[in-house]
Amino acid sequence: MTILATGGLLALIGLAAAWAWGSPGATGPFAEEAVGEPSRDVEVTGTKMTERYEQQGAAAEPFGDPIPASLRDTLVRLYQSDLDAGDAESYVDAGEWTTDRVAAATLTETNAVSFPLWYRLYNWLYPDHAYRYRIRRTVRAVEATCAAELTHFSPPDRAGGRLQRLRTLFRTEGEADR
Amino acid sequence: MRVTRFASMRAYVLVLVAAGVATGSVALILAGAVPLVFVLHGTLTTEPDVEGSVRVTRELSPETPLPGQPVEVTLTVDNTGGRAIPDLRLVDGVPEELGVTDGSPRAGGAVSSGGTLTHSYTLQADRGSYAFDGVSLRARNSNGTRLVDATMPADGDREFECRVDIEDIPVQQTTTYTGQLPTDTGGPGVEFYATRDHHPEDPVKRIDWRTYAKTGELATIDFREQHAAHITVLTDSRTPTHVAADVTSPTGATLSAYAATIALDVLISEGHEVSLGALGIADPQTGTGPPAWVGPDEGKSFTTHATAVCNAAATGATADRSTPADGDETDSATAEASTAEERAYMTDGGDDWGRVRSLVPTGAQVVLCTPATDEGVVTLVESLRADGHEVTVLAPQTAPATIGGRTVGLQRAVRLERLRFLGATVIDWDSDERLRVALSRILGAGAG
Repeated sequence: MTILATGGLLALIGLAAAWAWGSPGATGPFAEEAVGEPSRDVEVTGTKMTERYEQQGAAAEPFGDPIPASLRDTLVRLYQSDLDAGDAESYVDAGEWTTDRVAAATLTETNAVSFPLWYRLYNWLYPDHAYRYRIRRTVRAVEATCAAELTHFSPPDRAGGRLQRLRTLFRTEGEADR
Repeated sequence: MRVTRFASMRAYVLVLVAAGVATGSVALILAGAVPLVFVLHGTLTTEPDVEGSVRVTRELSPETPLPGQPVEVTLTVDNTGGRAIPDLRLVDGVPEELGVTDGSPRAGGAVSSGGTLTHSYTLQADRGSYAFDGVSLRARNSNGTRLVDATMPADGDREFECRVDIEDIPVQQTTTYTGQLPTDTGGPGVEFYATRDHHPEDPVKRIDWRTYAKTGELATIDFREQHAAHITVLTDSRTPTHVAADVTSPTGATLSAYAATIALDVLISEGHEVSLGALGIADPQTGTGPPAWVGPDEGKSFTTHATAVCNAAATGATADRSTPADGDETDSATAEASTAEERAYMTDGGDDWGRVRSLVPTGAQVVLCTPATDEGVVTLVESLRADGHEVTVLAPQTAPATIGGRTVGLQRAVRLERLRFLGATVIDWDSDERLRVALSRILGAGAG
């Protein structure tokens, strides 16, 4: 008990002295000096869409979302090489451009394609997650369609899901062991 | 600068000595000697030497980078003083406009007397001139109670310029008709084209003696004629092109101007007659336009004028940037300008690119350097093709791997496909591909 009391008293004395005589953190200004972050004012491609995707999610007004609008326009223009404008829009609205029902339902402006039941449940439980999932999936579906239809387009490499990453990790480690 | 680190030890000394005196305990007074050692050590140590004892040297590799090229910065700190510096930290004065893409401009470590501390990091250069600020240094003694701050200029490279110039182009070649574009007409040359009936004025050396031996009739050999071509290089510096893949990367307008500069270099050196147009900007020398235009009839001033126009196109310096570069408009399906003013600006004065079409000489081949960020490019190529021009498009990529970037990239991919459909040769310039390689594909395509 006496030892504890003595230790506590010494700690209090030390803290009080440090407060009274201590100097302000000398590393402050040096550590805060911002370097290596460019100050130039340049617009990065797709920033507004990305910000909307990352920050606003499903809370954003559903009809003003530029990402589905842009993807839909991309598809319509893609199919306009073979179809007239009206037919190209109908083709996209009908969801015939993909086998992915979530992507098809995201880009249709009619009731021809609806979201599957499981997605509607997911959207009801986690609207923000569901929104991002829907957008990611739609972008991948349009990329796959463009890769098939265009002569010089290859979709970006996919990082893969968690399972894929685990497999890659195990495979790499297994090869290293050998 | 003195840093109080042992304030608590000072208090312990006072408390222990006071308690020892009050109670008459020699043990307590002696115990006060332990924290006193820390206090004295902190008080008696001296400041490390920095000024005059430390020399910082900066090296850049490459020293004159091209736009978008990584620049490795190597800082070497030499301790020329007689004492070691137990703790030396430094922050390089990176130009404000540039971003560090790999590593950090901060470094630290102990440097013995005569020793060296080396640190490297990587910047991404954009077109322009950049100057480094001094290197901020902070040195401490071994127990951290003395601190010295200093900012000193580094020896070696303190500034660099990232640009592409065509100063060394032999100007006289712009008027020398020694081009290499094969034409579809026969005449003097090297490659066999056809035989035809002999005319009395034909040179004797082109008589086809084999045919004469077989048939007894004179025939003349025509070779494939090779003429200098007139090539118009267009670089796109309209508002929608001033976007980049990230804040450290060059914009599409910069990359396009860079590509145009190199293309001019190659084409002129091959003896072609070349003109240059910069979409979206006025001429920085005369104020005419947009588009800024440099014709082949300028002779010796062509190089200087073309360099000025390319520099202006890279930065959009003379463009009327009062028209807002609305990212959503550029990005989204509604990229087409909504107002008549914007449309007029985008198309350099008319819905049908009338001014550009009137400036491009009849029969000229066109090399269009554009990131293809909007629909205006499609209408331009459509117009040029309608006028009978062969069009080659070099399109630098400016879309990052974000959701927004991928979405815009898809729009661009479809747009480039439409350009191919219009009959243009399209080179999709990946940022990983060296421009010379991409251009060799273009110039090869153009020459074929």
